Amino acid sequence: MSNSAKTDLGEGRLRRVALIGNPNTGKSTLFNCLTGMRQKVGNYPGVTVQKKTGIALIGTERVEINDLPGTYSLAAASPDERVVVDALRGEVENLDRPDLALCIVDATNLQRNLFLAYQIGQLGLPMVLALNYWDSAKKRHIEVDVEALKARLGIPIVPISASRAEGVAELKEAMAQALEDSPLLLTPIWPETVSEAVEEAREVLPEACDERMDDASIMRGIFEGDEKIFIRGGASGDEARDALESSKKTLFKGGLNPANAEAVLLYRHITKIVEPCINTSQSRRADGSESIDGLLTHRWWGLVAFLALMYLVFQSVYSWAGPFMDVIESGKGLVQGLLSSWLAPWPIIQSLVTDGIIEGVGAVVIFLPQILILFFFITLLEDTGYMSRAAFLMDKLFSWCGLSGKSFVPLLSSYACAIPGVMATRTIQDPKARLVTILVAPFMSCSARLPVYVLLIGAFIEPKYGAGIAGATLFGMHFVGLIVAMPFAYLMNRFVLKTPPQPFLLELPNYQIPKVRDVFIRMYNQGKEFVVNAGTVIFAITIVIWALLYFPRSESIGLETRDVFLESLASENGWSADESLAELESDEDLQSILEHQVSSAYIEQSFMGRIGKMVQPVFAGAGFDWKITVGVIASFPAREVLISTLGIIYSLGGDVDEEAGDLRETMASQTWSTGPEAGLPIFTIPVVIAIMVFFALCQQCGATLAIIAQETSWKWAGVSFGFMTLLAWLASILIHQIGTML
Amino acid sequence: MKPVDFAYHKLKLGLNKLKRRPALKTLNDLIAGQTAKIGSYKPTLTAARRLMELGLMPGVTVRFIKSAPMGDPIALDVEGRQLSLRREDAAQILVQLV
Repeated sequence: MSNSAKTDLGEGRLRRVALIGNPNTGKSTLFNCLTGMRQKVGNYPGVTVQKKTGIALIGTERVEINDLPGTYSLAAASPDERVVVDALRGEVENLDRPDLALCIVDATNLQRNLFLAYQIGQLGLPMVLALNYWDSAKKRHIEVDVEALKARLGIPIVPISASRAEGVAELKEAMAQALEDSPLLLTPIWPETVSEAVEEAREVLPEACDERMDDASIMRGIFEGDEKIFIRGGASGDEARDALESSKKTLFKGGLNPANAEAVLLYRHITKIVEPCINTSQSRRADGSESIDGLLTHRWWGLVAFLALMYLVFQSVYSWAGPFMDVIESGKGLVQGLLSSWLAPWPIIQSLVTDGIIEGVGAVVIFLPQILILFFFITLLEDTGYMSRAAFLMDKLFSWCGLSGKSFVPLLSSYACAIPGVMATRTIQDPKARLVTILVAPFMSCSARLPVYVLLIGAFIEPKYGAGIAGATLFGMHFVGLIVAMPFAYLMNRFVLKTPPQPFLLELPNYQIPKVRDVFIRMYNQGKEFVVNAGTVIFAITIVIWALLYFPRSESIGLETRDVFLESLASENGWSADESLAELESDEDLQSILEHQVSSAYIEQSFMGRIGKMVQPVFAGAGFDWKITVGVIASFPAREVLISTLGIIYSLGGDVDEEAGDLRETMASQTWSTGPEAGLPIFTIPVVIAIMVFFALCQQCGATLAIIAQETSWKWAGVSFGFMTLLAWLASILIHQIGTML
Repeated sequence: MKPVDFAYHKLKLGLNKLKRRPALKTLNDLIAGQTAKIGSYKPTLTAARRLMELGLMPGVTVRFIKSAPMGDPIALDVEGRQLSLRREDAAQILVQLV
């Protein structure tokens, strides 16, 4: 029997089960339980909703399980819910309609959970119901008469405890059986008024639409008040509107409010069905959670605990990632050194491999430790149930500018790095709040800005004003972005994103002990997704920047520089040409000085150098010369590149760091060679502050752009880039102008 | 006969309203520990549908647990589940103290 069913579907096409349920019903745990590591994570086409599929062995058959985002209802309000509806209807590209819906419900909260089950049932999908948290229902003396419920719902029901993998074998059996005989949920009998409203709509709708849409989908359209459902069915805009109007009127006449008719009727029905099957001997109070909350959401202690916990999390992200990042850095250096000597005969390939490809791979891998560690903690915070409490505690701080309490963790993690920060916004369901949080995240002062601040403050602020002011400046620089970001969020929210805000409704789930396997599977999936999606873009950007810095490269530039160097050597020491040549060949120090000068000459001649000189007038108002401009432009893929680029430009070699004394000295001795300020130092205090503010506000991180594009779209990545760069440019000019006036 | 009836009803309705006024509160007016029954939503409430899906619908009894440290949002016990919503939304929900 099962064999014939399989061959009917043709080869290569597995039968599909959609796993669906409310948030906080243990859906991911069940998914991991069913599929183990046989999972694939991607995105649904066109939206940023994570698509998780896995393979499970059901009976003797391999079945594809599709883990849909958690949702309370099918009335699609967010992209997540839209995806759920489309996937269940089989309207997602390359994803057929599922053969079975596996609906997971919380046994301790049946009524509300069955609401979603009934909506799915109306789509005509065969269904199996998994009653999760069976163990804690028993503990709380909630007795569910499964047999009676089965009879009343008409579908297989299996009590499980997903976190202990109890009942999963029985669930698989029930699923195997259901794949054969397609049990359907007994749909509620709707009052006369509803069927009248459907008839009313049918009369107005065109014939094509009438044929294509069954009663259930017309009913969905009416209940949701969504014209688009009719339009997709084949009606014109006017017809859809008329159909909606007349059916609404009918509902109204029948004493139903169209806006909440479905909820009222369905709950009434569910209560009637469920009440006789549940026996609660104790009052239905939240279990231990409320006493834990006595501390964790306490007026004072709650905030203390929150701050302590956040400190712990981010301190760990910072300090645990450090050693791994060092290992990656030195590993990269090792490979570069090895390949560099091996590829020495082919200078272009040598440079492409070491400075382009390996650098690019390194630029991707370097983010992994932070992403993995952050998601380790985020999964812990979410699975324990604390994440909702954090949002509850922090909401007030963010609500005024259109963000919500859920923005706190992503923004805080952006202080380490915007990449994991932007990825962490997945915990925000409201698409608008999520987008604003993503756009604001790159303003937070990430750790890549730190070397730039340290270099400039150490070279110019500290010698002049002392360590106290230097420290205060460094501290202040960390707030520049935040101060700009909040009003930016407010304006975005108020004037740009006109979609109506979603109400802030937060479920505070019962506290739970997280499952280790869930945590590691999530870390693995997040890391993999980052490498595959954002990683390719980051890699590509690195190669492009390498090419801009490398080409055009003619031998003659190297020879010319060498001649000039020999000449100056000769004239300085009073040597003949042959003597200075011999000196150069024997003295390694002189050779390395020459080498640095040659790279400096190459970079000046490169496309990047030419672009820098061309663009320099734009930054003249901020007091940047062409060298700073090249540094700024070369830093667009990654801001920490500034230091090594400046090192190359100032002929010190690319391996300087922000603490290097000679780089600081060289920068301090730079003077304008032409123009009205000829002979005066380039790095004045206003210029230094202008550079720092520019780096604080500018979107100089290709990786962040890639991740924003992955999470939203290239359009929003463009907006982020354009706006932040413009803002940084204006601010740096403003600061320089005001600074020089004072 | 009919007009008289009508006037009588109107009077009674008005009196009832007067009598009930002090008890007519919104979810926003509750203090920690108070229990109330959801009456109806004000029509200005945009989140009505969402609230219903989460089980916060007319007729349901809720207990006000606490407000967040900064005063907003608030946490409710809705049939054994903890829900949190902002005060601006809570002020749109009429309740009767139990």
